[in-house]
Amino acid sequence: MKSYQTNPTRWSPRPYTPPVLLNFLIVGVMIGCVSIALETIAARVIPFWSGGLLPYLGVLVALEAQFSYRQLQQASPAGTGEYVWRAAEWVLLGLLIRILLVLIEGPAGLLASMQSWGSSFFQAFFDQQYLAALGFSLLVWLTATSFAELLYELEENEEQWELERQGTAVRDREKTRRQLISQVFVIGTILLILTTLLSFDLAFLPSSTAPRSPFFTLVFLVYFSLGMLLIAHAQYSVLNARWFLNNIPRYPGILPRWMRIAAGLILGITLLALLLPTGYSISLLMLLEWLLTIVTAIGLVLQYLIALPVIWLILLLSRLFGLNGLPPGWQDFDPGRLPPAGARIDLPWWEVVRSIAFWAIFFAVVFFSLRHYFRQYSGARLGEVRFGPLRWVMSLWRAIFQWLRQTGQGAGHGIAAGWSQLRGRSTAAIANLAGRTLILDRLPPRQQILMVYLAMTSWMAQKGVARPSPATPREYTRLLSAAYPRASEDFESLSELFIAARYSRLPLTRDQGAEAIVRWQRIQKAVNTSLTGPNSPPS
Amino acid sequence: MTSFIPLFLVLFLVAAALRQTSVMTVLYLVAGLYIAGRWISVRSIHNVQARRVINSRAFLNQTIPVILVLKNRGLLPLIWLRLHESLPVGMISPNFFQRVTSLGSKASRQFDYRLHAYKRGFYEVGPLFLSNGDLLGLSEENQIEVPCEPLIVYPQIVPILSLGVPSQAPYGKIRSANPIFEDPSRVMGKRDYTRGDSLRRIDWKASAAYGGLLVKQFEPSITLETNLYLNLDSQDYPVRRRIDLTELAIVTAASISSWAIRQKHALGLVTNGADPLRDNATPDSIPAHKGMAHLTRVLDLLARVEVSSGEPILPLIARFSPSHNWGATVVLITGRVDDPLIETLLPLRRRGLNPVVIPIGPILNLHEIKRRAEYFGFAVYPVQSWHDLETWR
Repeated sequence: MKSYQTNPTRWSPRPYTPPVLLNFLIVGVMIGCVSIALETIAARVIPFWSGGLLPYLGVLVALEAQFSYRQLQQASPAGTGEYVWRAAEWVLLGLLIRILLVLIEGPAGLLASMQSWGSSFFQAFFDQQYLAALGFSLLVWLTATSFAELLYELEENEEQWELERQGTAVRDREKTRRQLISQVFVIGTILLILTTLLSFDLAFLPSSTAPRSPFFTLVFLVYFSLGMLLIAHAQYSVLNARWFLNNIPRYPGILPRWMRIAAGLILGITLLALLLPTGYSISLLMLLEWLLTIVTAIGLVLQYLIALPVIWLILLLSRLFGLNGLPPGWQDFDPGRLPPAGARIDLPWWEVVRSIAFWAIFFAVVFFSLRHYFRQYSGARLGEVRFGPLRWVMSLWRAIFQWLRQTGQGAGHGIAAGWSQLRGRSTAAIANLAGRTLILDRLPPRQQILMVYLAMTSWMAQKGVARPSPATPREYTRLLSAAYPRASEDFESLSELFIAARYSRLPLTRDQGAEAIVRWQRIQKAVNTSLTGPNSPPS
Repeated sequence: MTSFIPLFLVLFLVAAALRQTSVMTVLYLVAGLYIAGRWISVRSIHNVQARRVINSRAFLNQTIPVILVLKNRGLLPLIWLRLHESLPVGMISPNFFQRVTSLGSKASRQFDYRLHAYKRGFYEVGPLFLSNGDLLGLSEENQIEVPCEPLIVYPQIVPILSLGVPSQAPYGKIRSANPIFEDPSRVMGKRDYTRGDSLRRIDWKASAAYGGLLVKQFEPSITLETNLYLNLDSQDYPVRRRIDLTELAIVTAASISSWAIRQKHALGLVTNGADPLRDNATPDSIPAHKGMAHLTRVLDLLARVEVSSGEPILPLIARFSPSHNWGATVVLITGRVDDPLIETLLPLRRRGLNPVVIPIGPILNLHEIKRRAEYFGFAVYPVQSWHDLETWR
């Protein structure tokens, strides 16, 4: 046999790093999933198919194809060397498949085969089962080689990257990644469609055994999950190469964290996808009725709990005035008669939950579609309509839309302001609160001034001029004025107002409260428009 | 992601047409991964708090350390986060700082680099762009921007001991025994009576106790005030040495400013240069004021001001000089000394101000100019090169 010429000066041999081996394994298991689907298809389409071999064979051939491709790239044989390599590989694979088939047939089958080989070797050796297995292996081998080729392109190789940086060899890794994604999805979609078609009771097919749906759901989920993991790894490879080419130093622990989180996320979403409903057991109206019953029941319980002390009070008062029992009319109140919640639904609870989830997803999709649609076509585009009545309708719609938007925004701001007021512990929130004159306006002048001064000290502390704990308000004012001379007058005025509000009992007017707010706003403006921050004398 | 929309449609149609649960489940998986990946990446980058720790003012030839502090305030991890900070061209090469990092939940990380203040000026450090993306690369990258941080490199300050200005000016004779005006409400001390002292100054009670005549000494009530006029009109400097000479003018102004503030003068500054913070318009004049904080303000302006070809300096002198106090010194730093200049300064002298002209660079007929200045009563201190500044030490 001709010896392979290697070219050691061109590339250094690439090591089998954990990410490379992980890719091998992922592709192997994916091909295994594909093989299970193909096995089912073969069992229904090919009458003589004995089955059981393909999944194992698929994994084996996929691993071999990846290993072989990698070795071939490393060795880079010259001339016809590659063909010889491939021929030797396929002879070996052929023998392996034959041995596997013989092993499946058992010792009796082996003896029978060996006896038949003497009379007509080719017919006996290359029987239908063997040829089908060979054909399947070729398909798997091509698929796995294609995956191996793409992954080899994306593999981390600083030697190759260095050449790219010098401009001698440029590779479009993004394109390779897109090819990988397409390959994963195209193979998966074809298998999905084929398996789905075969699940129907088709009369012309030799076998009438339809594939089991839940099992195939699991197989496809495994295939797509692993495919997604492969895509995640490919995305990292593309970015990693890009960062290297752009001379961006990288944090060394990104890949392990990337793969860990990707695996966790994919696993979580896969489990969620398994749990999510693909149909509903309870119709929408029935579900609404059921939910309404529950809400009514809760309402009645609440009503009972609220009414109980009142009834007790009335009862006590009536006894005080010499009456026995409740007044007429109150006798009818019977809190014990609550409607039986969910009595009409005899399904297990998880079916109810799945139905609720189904309808929630359904309405979420509808809601988001409508929202997106009306956002796209609201506003100016509707105003372009020139036809009279239609224009009025459009104007009306636009007004309603604007009103709804403003109301929504107003409500949002109100809730946000209320929430920040409730929280109250954050200094930033205090500072923001002072800016909202609407809230401050409702406070008495003394509270206004105190609140504004508190906000000012918190805000200035964030800006780097914190109030030293032993400093008096006037000392702190001097500190602030030195830092921001432009606002010194406002600082002084606000400080004086604070001193009056905090340390004196003089009556304060609304005007003084308003002045504090104005001074505070001017301070904010002056500080924000100052160059960098507090002045510091050059040393 | 747009390339996946046909796939979703196909899957959905297949699921709907064939009523297959496996197709629907796969659709859930793919859509779920897309939505979750996108949501996590958008949410996580908005939880990043980036802070730049930098001293916003620096002196010439100083190395400025910059620390970038990133903190993930959320629970969602940032698997990858790319930082790209734009930096001033004149301070570092290459003029950006880039890193790729990863931030766990509630984790923080910091990066540092150094800038070099080779030249005075107003610089902007940043903006800092932070970008991340989803794990699968199915959606667009997200980016947030952290705003710039201004950085001011002060001009060189040559320590000046004395300018050697004439005795009638506040320079050089600050502790004069005969202050221009005295405040009778501020008694500084007492001394023995000498001939010529006003009788109204005698402290009779103290004289009785002492056994000899004592006169009161009062604090001077006039503020020592120096007003700098810096001419940065490009027309007033020779073309070949324009950059060098205008820098020399700015360094001279900065050195005099520093000296004046240290001598407890009130210092004002008017210039006709271009201020990059005001879209290269002429900056506002800085009124005379005392203190180190005020010096910072003056140096800030001197750090960022550039040569302009706008308003000439003489109208500015005419506009702002009426507001100066009597006895104040007016220092004009300029690249051109000619008759109109002397005609502008002469009324100042008549109004009781002390004009001092510092011509920058080679000046024709310098001897004649000095002679005329001496005649009109104001000083001329030529600064033809950096070496001349050194002689003021």
